[in-house]
Amino acid sequence: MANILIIDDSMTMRQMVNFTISAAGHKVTEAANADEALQSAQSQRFDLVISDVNMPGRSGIELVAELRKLPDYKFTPILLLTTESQPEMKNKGRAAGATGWIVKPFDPDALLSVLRKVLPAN
Amino acid sequence: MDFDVTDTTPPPAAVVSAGNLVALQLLVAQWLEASRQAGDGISSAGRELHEVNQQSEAAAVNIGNSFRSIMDKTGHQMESAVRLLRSDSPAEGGGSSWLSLPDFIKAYEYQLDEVTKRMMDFSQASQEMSKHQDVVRQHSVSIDEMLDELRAMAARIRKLALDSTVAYSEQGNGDSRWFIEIADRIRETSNTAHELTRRIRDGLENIRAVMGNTYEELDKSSGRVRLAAVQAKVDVSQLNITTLEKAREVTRTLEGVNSLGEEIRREINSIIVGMQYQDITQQRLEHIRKLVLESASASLAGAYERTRHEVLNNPELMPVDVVQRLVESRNRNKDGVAAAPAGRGATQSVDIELF
Repeated sequence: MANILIIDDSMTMRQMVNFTISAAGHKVTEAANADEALQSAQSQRFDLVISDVNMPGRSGIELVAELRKLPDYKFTPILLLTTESQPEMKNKGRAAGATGWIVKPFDPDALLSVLRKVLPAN
Repeated sequence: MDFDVTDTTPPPAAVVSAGNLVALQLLVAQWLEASRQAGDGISSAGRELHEVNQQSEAAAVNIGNSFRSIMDKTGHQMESAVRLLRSDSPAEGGGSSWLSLPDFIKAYEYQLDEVTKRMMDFSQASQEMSKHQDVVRQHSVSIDEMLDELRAMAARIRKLALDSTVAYSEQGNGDSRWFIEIADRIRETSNTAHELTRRIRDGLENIRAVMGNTYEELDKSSGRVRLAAVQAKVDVSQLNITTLEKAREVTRTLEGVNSLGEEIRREINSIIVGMQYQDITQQRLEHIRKLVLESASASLAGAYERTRHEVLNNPELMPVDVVQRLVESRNRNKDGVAAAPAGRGATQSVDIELF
């Protein structure tokens, strides 16, 4: 069971991601924006972070860059879940340190499959 | 021909006739009114759109909550049903354990087999006992024969004693008193033996009668048990067929439950995908609101303000009522507009990509 942080300004999206991931037995913490996410990330250690890109305040890409500055999150898998699919945006995400890019709407099975790939084996 | 509404350069001077001036005044007045109304309408549409977004999100969140609650309850129901059918224990760490339906059927079948087996064992034991009784009867016949011999011997001894006494009396020699006394004792012993033989025979007869009754009862019981056991075996065989069919039914039901679970899982995935379109739609509407409505509103507002400014600075060019309306609307609050955000392309590529 992994400890996962999900960030999205849309409560519906958080619900759907939370439902999919918690049904697979993982523990989920939600944040509505980058500031909340950074606060949570500093108060506890997450095994995986899934973030939206377009959010009020700091974007998901900026959040990735901020998280990568934290020693605990240097190698933590961070996935960006967004409606954006332009290559230049993906490149920005990759440059910021994101582990992967998932385009909304996500398929629950596909999301869980990605989680299995990026989460540590134990 | 396109006009740049932000361009503040005065238009080139032109000679305008009186008739054209009136027409131009009318057009400017209409433009002012239309742009004001359109600006108001666009602002209003933007606000409506924002509210619709908020309401649709609230609705989607409610649906999501209900959906999750239903799924949790359905999950519990299904788990309970499956646990009942499978050999799972009722609760983790729970002290008491109970049998699943297939296990219960197996245990029931086993118990029935055991009962039938014991009945058959009892029947066989009764038969064995009957055989032992036959042996005892044979022994009693032997004892009977021995008693007959004993009786005959006693009779012969008595006769011998009598004959000896007679023979001794006929010879008439010596004192015969001690001899008669011995002969009497022999006779007495013979009588006692005879009496004992009779009593033993009576006892033996009684035993034989009791044994006969016991044998008869045992034989009847044994017969009844045997019949019951055979019938039970037939019934159990029949029951085994039924329980086997039940066990198969349970297996089929479990398979059905599993298949139903898989279908439900697929449906849930579809719902999860469907629910995400609320967010996607919301984002696109928000995009339209900012990109189209806000920039259109800003353009209209700019053009309107510039026209109004020109008219108010040159009141002699316009009819008095138009100027008056513009003066009155000077203090009217206008919605501020923000610059439109950069557009989001619709280029579709790979949905999931790990870097």
